[in-house]
Amino acid sequence: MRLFWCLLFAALAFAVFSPDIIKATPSPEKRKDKRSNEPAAPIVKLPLNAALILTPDFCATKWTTGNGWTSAKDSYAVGQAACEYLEPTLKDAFSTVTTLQAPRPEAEVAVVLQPKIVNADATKGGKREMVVLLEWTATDAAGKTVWVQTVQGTASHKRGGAFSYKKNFKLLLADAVKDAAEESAREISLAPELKALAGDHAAAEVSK
Amino acid sequence: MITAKGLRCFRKTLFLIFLLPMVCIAREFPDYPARKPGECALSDEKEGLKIGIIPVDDAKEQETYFRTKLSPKGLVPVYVVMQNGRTNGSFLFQKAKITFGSGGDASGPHVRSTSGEVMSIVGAGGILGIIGAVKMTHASEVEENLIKKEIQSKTVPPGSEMHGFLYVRAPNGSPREKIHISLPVTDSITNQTITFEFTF
Repeated sequence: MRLFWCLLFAALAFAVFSPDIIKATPSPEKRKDKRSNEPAAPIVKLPLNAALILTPDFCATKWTTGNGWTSAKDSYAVGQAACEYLEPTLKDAFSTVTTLQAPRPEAEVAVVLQPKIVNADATKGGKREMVVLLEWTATDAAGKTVWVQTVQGTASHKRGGAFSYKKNFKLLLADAVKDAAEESAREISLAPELKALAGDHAAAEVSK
Repeated sequence: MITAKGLRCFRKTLFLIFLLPMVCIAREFPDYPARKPGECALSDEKEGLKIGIIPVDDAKEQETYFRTKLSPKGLVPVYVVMQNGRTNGSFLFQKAKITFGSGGDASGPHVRSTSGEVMSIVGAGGILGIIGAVKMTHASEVEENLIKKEIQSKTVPPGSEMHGFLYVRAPNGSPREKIHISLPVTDSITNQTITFEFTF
């Protein structure tokens, strides 16, 4: 009888003070392609100078789900996390990346990249899964749209107890955005349209 | 005074309380079978790009793939597949440029049906609010599945294809009012917009 109450107490204590991380974003070498489930292709640098447009509005984007009345309200500061992780990750995909707050015609870049947050949501169960969708539009120096792509970033973490819930929530958001940033870099380095743009750019440089 | 019988009953109840959520979590969302444009209810081909669409009106099919019935709440999931059959030159699909209407009038992203209701494309994140299912069991899993199955803006490179669902808000009636949808895509070679139109 005493043992039963001890076990029940231990189960309740575990639910409240449970450990933080169950699954973190996989390391690049263990990462798999989400469509084919094959090992993901490595990110290859494109010989292009790119401008990354991160407007103040984009960085301040918060995605809210639920209404706090009939459903749990969650607010995801996706823009803030994206502005932290996008530039360092995209540096692996281009020769140079210049971050601008607005498009500047005088900026001497071969490609201008503009991200948009399309959706962000997380499940509410004991193990939370989060999805972040980023839509990319790439334009060339003449302003022509050469590439459009929507990438999906995912992550999962344990919900956590009363004391670890907020911390786990931040980790979940950060990992989902990091995953979206890495997927973005990979899609960019694989895009035939951007490879062709790099080829045209190289040919133009030679002819100068 | 706790009797042995009472304790057994309490243990069984506790076991069931822990077991029930696990059974519910185990429910999965099957993928909608991928189709080629030629296998769809409606299809068209222009400049080497084939597009096929299937309006999934059947509530049973909706229950199978989305774990919720969308039609009774005035939402029609529409399966869209695009296939670039060219050897060079991509097509750019931008979801924000889709326009649609009813009865052969595609005039904007939001139009009114003949009964005066607003028709529009609904993002997967807003569907549960519309169908009033925010309190249903595993609403967040249903919503995430809707998001994952939704078609997004993409570039379709030569020899490749993409597919997904559009969620169209349309007047709830029997029979359903006809929907006319225009899907514009940009040809990367000519930089011209090619529009595919379907009525269903």
